Amino acid sequence: MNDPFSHIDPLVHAPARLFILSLLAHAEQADFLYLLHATGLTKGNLSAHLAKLEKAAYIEVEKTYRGKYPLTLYRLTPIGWDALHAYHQAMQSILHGLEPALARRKTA
Amino acid sequence: MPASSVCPMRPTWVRQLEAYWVVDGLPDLLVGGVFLTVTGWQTLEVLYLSPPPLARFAFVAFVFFTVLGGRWLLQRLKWRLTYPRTGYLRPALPPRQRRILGLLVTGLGGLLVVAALSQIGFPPLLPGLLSVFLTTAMLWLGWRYARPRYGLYAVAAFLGGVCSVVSLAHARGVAFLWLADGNAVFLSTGFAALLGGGVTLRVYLHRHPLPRSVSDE
Repeated sequence: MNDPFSHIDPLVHAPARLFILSLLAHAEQADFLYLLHATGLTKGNLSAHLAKLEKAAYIEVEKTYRGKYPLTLYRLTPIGWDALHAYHQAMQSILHGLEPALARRKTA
Repeated sequence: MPASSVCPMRPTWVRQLEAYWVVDGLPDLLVGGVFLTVTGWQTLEVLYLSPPPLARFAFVAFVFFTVLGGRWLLQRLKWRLTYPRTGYLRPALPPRQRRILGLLVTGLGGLLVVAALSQIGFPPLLPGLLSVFLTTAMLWLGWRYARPRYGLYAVAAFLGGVCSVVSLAHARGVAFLWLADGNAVFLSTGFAALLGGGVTLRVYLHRHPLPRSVSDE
């Protein structure tokens, strides 16, 4: 990876979407209400971010019912996993490159 | 978004996600209830040394149902109390091989303990061992989930064990039998879990009232 900066996916890089993807990476499935509580976003904001991720096929949505309650479940897709993995690698490379400069600044 | 971290290895948001299963105190209530039931049963067994076969069967069925059906029961309760308030999360399961290995290790460990205890025939050791096991398990859970109430359960399990071991030396007859079965440990831990779980559930329900409707559109 010569230029890790060009490998940063802006769709993943936004803090709110990165948080959503990270939560879903730890879960098999989560519903809208859980993501709302865990991220602390507003309903509209969360919906907008989820729609973007769904449009990019990073997450998939399953609309179902539990008794009489409608339930919207989200999970990462294989494409989403790949995007998260690529982002992780790019960020690791960038942070690794930053370490000497930060250490120099600390000792100066 | 939370940025602070309890442990540098595991960020707070990961711990919060992993601790979602115990956030409402329901598992504590179940464990506390089971422990107190076990204590109650063993007390009856000590007082009436030969319980009727039907009662023994009912007890075995209860333990069997709790072990196998505990998760199912908790899920039912969570669908009524927790998920409508703070949402549904199905945590990712560990890989199949790790789960099988975990089951094998737990099963073999359990068999070894039972075999060792039946061979050695050392009832006075049982409360001490039980206390050490429960104290360690509670401390581990408290560390893993960053929930201080597990520290309270660990203290209760430890004190129950100390109380049993110290009292066993002087106990006679029915009191000896009662203590030797580890009842003091079950009683103290069960009571602490019931108390901690109850308070946690109360606080959780108070903090998260049922929303009128949640639209995700």
